[in-house]
Amino acid sequence: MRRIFANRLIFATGIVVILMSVLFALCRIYKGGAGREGPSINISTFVST
Amino acid sequence: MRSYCARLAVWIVIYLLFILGPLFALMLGSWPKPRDFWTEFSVALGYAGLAMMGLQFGLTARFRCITKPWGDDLIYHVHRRLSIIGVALVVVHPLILFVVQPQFLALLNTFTAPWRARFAALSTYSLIAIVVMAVWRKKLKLSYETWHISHMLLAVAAVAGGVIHMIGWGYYLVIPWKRALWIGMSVFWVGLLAYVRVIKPLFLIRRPYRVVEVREERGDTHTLVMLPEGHPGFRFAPGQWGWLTVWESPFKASGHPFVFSSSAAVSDGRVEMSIRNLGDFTSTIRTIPAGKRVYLDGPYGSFTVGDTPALHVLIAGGVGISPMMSIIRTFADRGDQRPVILVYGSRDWESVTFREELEILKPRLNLTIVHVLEDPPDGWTGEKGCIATVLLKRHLPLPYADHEYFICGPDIMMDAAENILDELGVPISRYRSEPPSFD
Ligand SMILES: Cc1cc2nc3c(=O)[nH]c(=O)nc-3n(C[C@H](O)[C@H](O)[C@H](O)COP(=O)(O)OP(=O)(O)OC[C@H]3O[C@@H](n4cnc5c(N)ncnc54)[C@H](O)[C@@H]3O)c2cc1C
Repeated sequence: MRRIFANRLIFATGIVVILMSVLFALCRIYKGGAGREGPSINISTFVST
Repeated sequence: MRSYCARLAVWIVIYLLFILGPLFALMLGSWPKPRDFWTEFSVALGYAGLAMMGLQFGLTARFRCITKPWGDDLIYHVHRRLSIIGVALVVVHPLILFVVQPQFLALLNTFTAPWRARFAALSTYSLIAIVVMAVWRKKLKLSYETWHISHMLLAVAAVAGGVIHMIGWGYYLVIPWKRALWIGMSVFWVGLLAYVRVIKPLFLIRRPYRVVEVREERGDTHTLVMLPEGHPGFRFAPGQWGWLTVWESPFKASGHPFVFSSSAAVSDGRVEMSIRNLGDFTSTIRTIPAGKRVYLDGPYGSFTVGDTPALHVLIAGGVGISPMMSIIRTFADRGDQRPVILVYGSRDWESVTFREELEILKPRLNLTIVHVLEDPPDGWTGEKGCIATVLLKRHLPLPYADHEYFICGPDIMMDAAENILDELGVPISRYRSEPPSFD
């Protein structure tokens, strides 16, 4: 019974983490330009180096 | 019940802060140019997944403040379930990238990929191996010891590989304080493992125990009687347990968990563990010579009695009698007259461990014993079969929700007992259960 209860909470925790990751991505694309821009890295550099 | 839920809510919020705090910290200060939604989402999943995996070191670092409120078995259960979520998040991170930016598929070629991608692969493959070996340990026929050592090594490889990958990739972590934050967190996580495997053993080695007797009990069980050597020992509450190391050094991570079956009301630091022969290590208990030096790490566990005057219902199956014996012996030594009902399931009458001692202790206590035998002898008039709702209803006074319940035994019995208590309307806060296994 305790484990079933714990499973529900763990599932809910996982969902919260995913939703917060969505929020993180949304904040980045909508507010991305507003922040002070730091150095950026080119994807092609990552693949080829 | 309300305080139980409030405490739980606080713990979940703290946990989420540890996972999401370092992720959202990446948004502070200066930012690199934003990428598309899916790339940012996948990166967030990677960071959160790695933080979840790192925090697993904390769940299993044997901190009493973490295990005590919930019980070690539940903490290990949460550890396993959260790991699955953490690993899923980490694995989904590259999968999303492969879909939205197929050029990343080139990174799967280990020979041509840059080092930061190789470390990502090392981390991901280690995590997948951890899950496969944990879920299918028995099917893969891995001994507990082999699995345990590989589990620790793979966990360190996963976290180290993940962090090196993040730093190598740079992006958010090109900002020095953000890099320092994530490196610091990783050092802290791996430091938790070092605490259990190096620092704790250092303490143990300076506080050894000596075996004074190995007593044979009914039910293929032996009781190991140990006295502290050169130190006063530790105090434990009846129902708690410790890690026992016999044949190796405590640095070898070869400790096995056993409940203290002796009375907690002793002044000479004596502890006893009653150990049933169930495998490689437990079959060697009978061969331990008197005088042998052993190491005990404890006490752990929240399977303990409080000071409520309520009726204590002890439901034990097989080797699950050990913590109940400690509770009963402690009550007897302290002259505690609180009512106790022991519902004790065994295979047959001959294998009822502590049968005689329980009868001797009975007159000193307000104790009722209900033996339940799977295979009763001819003419047996007591309970038979397994512990069931009707059986408990026959022996427990109403209202059921007012008693304190303690359950310990094989998994099947424990699940059944918890379901029965649920049927009887007993809230979770009224019972403690601790299976003699972390599986
Ligand atoms: C909190 C707790 C309290 C326990 N109390 C008692 C007790 O009072 N008396 C008793 O007889 N048994 C007790 N056990 C069970 C006991 O720990 C195992 O039976 C024992 O470790 C088996 O070791 P083995 O090498 O003989 O068997 P194996 O055949 O190697 O293992 C059998 C199973 O025991 C578990 N196990 C093995 N080694 C370890 C280890 N180092 N750490 C954790 N689990 C392990 C695994 O699930 C494994 O599948 C307890 C277990 C736990 C978790």
